Amino acid sequence: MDLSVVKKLVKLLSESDVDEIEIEEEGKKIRIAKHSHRPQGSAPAAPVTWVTESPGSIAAAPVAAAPASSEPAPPSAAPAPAPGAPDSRLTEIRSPIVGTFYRAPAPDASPFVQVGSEIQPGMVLCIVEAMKLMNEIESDIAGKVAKVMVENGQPVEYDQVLFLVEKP
Amino acid sequence: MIEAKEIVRGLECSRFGRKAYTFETIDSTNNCARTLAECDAPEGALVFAEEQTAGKGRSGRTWVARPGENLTFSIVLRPAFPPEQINLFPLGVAVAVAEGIHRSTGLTVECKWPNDLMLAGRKCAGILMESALAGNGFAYIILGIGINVNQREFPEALRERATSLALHAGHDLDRTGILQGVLGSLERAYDTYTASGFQGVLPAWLARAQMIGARVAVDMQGSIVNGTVTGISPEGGLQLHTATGDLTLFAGDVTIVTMDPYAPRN
Repeated sequence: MDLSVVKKLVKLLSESDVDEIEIEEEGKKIRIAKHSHRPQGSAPAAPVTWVTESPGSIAAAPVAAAPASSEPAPPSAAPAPAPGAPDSRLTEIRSPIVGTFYRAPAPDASPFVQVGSEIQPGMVLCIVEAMKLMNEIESDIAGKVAKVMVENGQPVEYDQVLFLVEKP
Repeated sequence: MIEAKEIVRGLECSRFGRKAYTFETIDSTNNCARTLAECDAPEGALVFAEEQTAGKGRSGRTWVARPGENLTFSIVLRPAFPPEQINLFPLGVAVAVAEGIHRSTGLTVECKWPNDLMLAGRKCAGILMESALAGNGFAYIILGIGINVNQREFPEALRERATSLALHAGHDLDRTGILQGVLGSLERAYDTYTASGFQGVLPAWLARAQMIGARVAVDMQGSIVNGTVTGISPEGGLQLHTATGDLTLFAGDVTIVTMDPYAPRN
């Protein structure tokens, strides 16, 4: 299915009272649901709240993947590698700008993504605000959110890691 | 109601406002402009509404304006400048809007960090920008602007903090002329930033700002920081001197800045 079609469906959903859309076309099925709902088969919907995962629950990306320049440590500190975790499958999503990190479009709204959320290219992951410019950071990869590296409302530096994503 | 053809007639722009969509009532001009941007609307496409039912402010707050008396509009931008340079852009937009208002009304509005516009300490215009940003840069930026033009009565909660251009001019003003003036200033500023960067932004902003030396209270995610504004950093951050040391604030760390007119100035 064309990505632009998916984008339009997401927009349609976000502007309507409908909670989810499921479409089956030529054997491919797509289901888009609002943030307060989880994909089928996953854990039950979490309450609408800021979620801060405890460090150490999953593996950090390999150090070699980090840029040569000095990189500011995320507030949650580097998590210890979990035994047997497939490090190479984790991809970092970094902040393209300096600003303040928000996990939801408004303080009382559901987070864009949570640990376990399936993401697709073009999907909004978070907002980084730079002086009242609300930048919706879109994923350019598909995968599953493995870790949220920054707490809601915290300042982020240029190139700071925001999410770790497990590629399919 | 201001019609699209009125906006275009006499407009001194090659792109901004040339493609104009006007509405009597809409949820939010920013939302509509985003939909247009997703559907490949050209740079400069304008969405104008006489009334917004869900006008946007920062952090989910709403922008409230009486229908038919003000200007609420959004412009689709497709910037070529790299995301890491974006910090000074909001200040530059504020300066451009201030210049557009000055050119079309003669009123001198002040800039308040990061991009509010003030008359005698009260807000007369607000700017909220939203972008879609991926690994390869900005897909688009939606530039949303609200200007209180001819509104003279404000809700109780806003009365001490809001004002309009007409309240200071002493008479009603031509909304179409102000919109055209602001669009012209914005297009010129945007083209300058695109061609030669943001180096002229800070001096222009500071020339219109009254808050250097002012004592401010800054709401940072619920915790209040009190301090004196010592300047604006080269990257556009608000520099504060506080009891516990010096700070530079960026981005949305500041949700409320209260200017104290009795504070000693440097």
